[in-house]
Amino acid sequence: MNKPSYRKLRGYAFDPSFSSTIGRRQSNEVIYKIRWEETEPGPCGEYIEIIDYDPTKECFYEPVNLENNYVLADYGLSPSEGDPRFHQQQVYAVAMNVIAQFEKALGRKIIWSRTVEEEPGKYKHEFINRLRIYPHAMRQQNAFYSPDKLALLFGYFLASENWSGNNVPGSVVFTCLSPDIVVHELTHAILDSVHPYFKKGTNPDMLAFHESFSDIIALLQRFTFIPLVEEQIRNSRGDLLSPQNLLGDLAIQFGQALSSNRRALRSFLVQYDDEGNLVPVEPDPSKYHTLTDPHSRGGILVAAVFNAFTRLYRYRVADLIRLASNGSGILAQGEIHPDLVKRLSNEAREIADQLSLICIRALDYCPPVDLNFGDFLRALITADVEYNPEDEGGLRFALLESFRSWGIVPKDINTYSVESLMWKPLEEFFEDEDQVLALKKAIQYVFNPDIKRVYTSMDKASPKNDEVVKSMERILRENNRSTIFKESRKLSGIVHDMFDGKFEYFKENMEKLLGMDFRPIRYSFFDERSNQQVDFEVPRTEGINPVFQVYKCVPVIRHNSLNGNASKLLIMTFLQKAEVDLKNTLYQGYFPGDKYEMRGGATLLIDLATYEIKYAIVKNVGSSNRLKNQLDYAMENLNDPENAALLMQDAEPFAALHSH
Amino acid sequence: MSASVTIRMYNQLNLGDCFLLKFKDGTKESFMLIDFGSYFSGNDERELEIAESIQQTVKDNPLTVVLTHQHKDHLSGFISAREIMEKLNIHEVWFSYLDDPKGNEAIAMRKATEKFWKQNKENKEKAKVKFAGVPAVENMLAAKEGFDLFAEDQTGGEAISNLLEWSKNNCKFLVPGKNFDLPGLPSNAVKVFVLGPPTDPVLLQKMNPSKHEEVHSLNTMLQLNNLDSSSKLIGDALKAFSPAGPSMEESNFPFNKKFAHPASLDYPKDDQISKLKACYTDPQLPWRRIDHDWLSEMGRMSLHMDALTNNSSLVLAFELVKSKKVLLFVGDAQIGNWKSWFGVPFENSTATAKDLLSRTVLYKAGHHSSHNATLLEGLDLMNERELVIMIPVNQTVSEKMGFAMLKPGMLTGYNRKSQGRVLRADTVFHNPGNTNTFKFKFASKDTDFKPKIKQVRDKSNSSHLFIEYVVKE
Repeated sequence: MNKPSYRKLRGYAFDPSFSSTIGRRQSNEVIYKIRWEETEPGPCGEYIEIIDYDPTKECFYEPVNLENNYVLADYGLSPSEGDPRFHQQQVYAVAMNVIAQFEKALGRKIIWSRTVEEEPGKYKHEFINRLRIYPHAMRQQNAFYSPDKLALLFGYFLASENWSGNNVPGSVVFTCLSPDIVVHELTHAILDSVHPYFKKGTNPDMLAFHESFSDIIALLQRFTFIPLVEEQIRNSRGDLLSPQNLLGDLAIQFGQALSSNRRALRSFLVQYDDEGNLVPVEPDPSKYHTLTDPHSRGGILVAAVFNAFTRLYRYRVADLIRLASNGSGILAQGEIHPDLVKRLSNEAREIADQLSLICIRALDYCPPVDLNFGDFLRALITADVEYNPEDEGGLRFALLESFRSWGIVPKDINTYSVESLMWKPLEEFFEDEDQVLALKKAIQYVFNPDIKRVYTSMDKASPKNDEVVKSMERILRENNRSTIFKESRKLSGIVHDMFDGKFEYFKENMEKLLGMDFRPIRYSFFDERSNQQVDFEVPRTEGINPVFQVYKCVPVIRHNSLNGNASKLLIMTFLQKAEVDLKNTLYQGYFPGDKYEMRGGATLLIDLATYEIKYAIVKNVGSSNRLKNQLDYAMENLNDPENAALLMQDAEPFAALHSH
Repeated sequence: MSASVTIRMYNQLNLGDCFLLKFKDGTKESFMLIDFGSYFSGNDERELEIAESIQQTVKDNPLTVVLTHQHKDHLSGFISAREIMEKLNIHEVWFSYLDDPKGNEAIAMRKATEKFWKQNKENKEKAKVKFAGVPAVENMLAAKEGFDLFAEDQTGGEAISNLLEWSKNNCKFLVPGKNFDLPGLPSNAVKVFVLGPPTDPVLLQKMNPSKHEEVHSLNTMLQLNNLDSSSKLIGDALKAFSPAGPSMEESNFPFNKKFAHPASLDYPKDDQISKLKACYTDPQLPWRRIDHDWLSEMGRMSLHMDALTNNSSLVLAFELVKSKKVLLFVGDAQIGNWKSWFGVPFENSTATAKDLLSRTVLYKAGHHSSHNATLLEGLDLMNERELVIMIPVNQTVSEKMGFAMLKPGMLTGYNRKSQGRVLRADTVFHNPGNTNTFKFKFASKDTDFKPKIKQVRDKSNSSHLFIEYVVKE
């Protein structure tokens, strides 16, 4: 017999502590369709292992065995807040759902890994088979992703005594039962696996991005639960997004789920007016320039994406509403037709799917370090143009309009249009034609086995070219994540060696096109606060080849269901670290060892059919402006060492951010 | 006539605030004592000497006492120096509305607070025993000790009762927006503006209270309740580790005990628990364990409690009406408190917090100069050329406890705004050593101030007892 494609599991669509009414209970139980895999009790599968250890009781909770006949026969265990085995099943279902969504959008496997400092200065990048999930890890109103443990930790707590929400005061609230929270935390982990440098708060947008990206995925996921959306559409008579209905509910649940942190997010979706009614928040472009804490800033990005969703929904259902209202656009009194309910909820789900796909895919079009929201908008637009050049559905314009209304406009563009927001090919932003040509040639030299057909007979493919091609083929062919990881490391290593010490051979200072600089780096800027000119110089280490990383080298094939094409891409990142000595400057006394690590580099997207560089997304390591902003930002956000000890969080960047 | 002020900052040889102000308008004088306390207890001798000095200066004149908030380092003197303090002619005491001992909300809050500290103490003792030898937990507990010492054992109640007794219940509980003439001076000589602690307008709006209902501190109360239930939850877990074992209730929390399998037991080899256990305790993977992470909640509660109390600090601005100069005393107000000032409407006055800050010529540094106690945007508004900043700090205590005080980050701002005119309670002048490059040279002699400051030695002549600076009319 063939294996089934899916495993169906019952679960909650939203946090059950807010669904005490009978009506809500019904729509809260949904069936999750999970890609089939064999599991061990836990459940432990290929990607995740759920270890239900409760350190506050030093005990293991009975694990669920999804392969048990009775469990298999009945779509898993039935939802129950009092049975830890159902908690495990719920977390498993939500988590696997998100992983599948990411893999579909990225066109490759999600691979966990971590970097360990084996001895001072020497790092090892190692494969980790499964992300670990602890559903009952602490007694606190908190849940977080720990990069150090490669684990998600979920807490439980008592609902507050005088609370104005729908939950029961004094009852236990389990954060692991809230799909919003599970999606949010898991998205942190996945984002970290794709962009490990995004957890470094080098600018006010970075931590905010981690937060808001996770919220965006969680928020959009809500619209994929058809029964839930249908119910909302019925109740609101088609106005899915009215604040009294889904939008308000959503916002309130997000807000209640993790108390004050999420309240910031909530306040970007709905607010109370003078009469105490919930109303949608009007976009305010000034907020992007005035708010600095990660949660509020994150709220802006979530609001911008959600605003695009609203625009698209209203635009796309307008014809359906006209049809159902004899052209008037105003529906008659009473319940709306069940068919219309279906059509409307399908639209909502489709838009949510498309938006999540583009948001996730945009990750491949982000710079490797120091991202800001403007960069992310450019990544979104570029990803969407690549996916859907025509844009009949108006997705890009909805994004453009909503981002502009929230003030997220990249600094370095002349006009606010799709053309200028898309990342540019190399030759359009580098003036030195010879260098651009040299880099293009270098890429051909490294990757193209048929180089002679492209250039004159004098040019030869690299002797290591065979290995590179074999390695790429293997990665594309392979299903085993461990093998893919090893092969990708190998490929990065070979490519690194092929460039190492040879940039100058291709063209003097060619590395600058990739955001790096192997000459002594000079930073120079004026500090207005102290009225001082500040100069730094990072010398080049003599004698050895300049140090840089090929952090990522991933071939992907992406099928496009819209036009039937498959695009073959190679995604590469180059990174260089400059250690800036802050002694005897106004920055002395703030940073460990009076040193600041400044990173720069580039994400390269190469078309594997032609070996041409499609996009180079660059952050210059030598940018004085970036260094100044990073230092100033870091100084304003210094952590108290005693707070770190107090929170036992020296190494947990997300724990403090999440706790209430 | 126009008013001037003499500001005296005492040196407790300890971390804490104690300021004696003498406002003068023509022949009229008005005395005010703002806070009087030490962080480490057992500082009675010094506190008595300070009290004597206060008595010698104030004599029989009426004295207004201000208690900014209920932390030890702001009030211990009102307990230890009772014998002298009770002889003073304290005619009025000012508190924040949150410290009103008769107000229902204040009583409820005090109860909740006392309950919290009691539970907190138990938790600490239990955690110390159970997790002895675990560095992260021990570090957390040590850091926690430093935080809790500010407020533990609630000395606030006794100090407040003393002050009420001495003043014969003549007290004011101040709410932001209030402004009035300083008592003891002719009207319109010095105006007092109340900036903090914040009330919660968002909550006020949301709960839609009737006008006379007092709901200023609902938010604080809510947070206290949450802290209390968190603390109990941790306490229950810790208690279960004692030899007596878990209570019935705890054994069935959060799930029926039939689901729970103690990690200490051995399980048959093919049992699913034994597989989970093997996975969790894999000797290759100690870095993935979560044995102690949950205890961070204990530390977080201290931090939260500290912020709650510091945000409850009374914040006063004194305006010398004629010269328009402003003195700003912020207690230990933290950022949240600062941010709320800008929305405070003053009764029958056109003054705004922004305007008061921009005219500030003397700023009492918030929370002993720690970085989260001065809002940079607030500091940036202080553009008066004669600005002097007084920091009641003690470097020895601060360093011993690892507090983030006197950090170059904050001092750069102080230096820039006051052009180096910074005074410290412990060392008088700030010597930056080679820690940083500052724009201005820090003041290093009495004559760097106009008028020059006055230093008075203590009885044993081993250090200064106080420094005095005058804001002229």
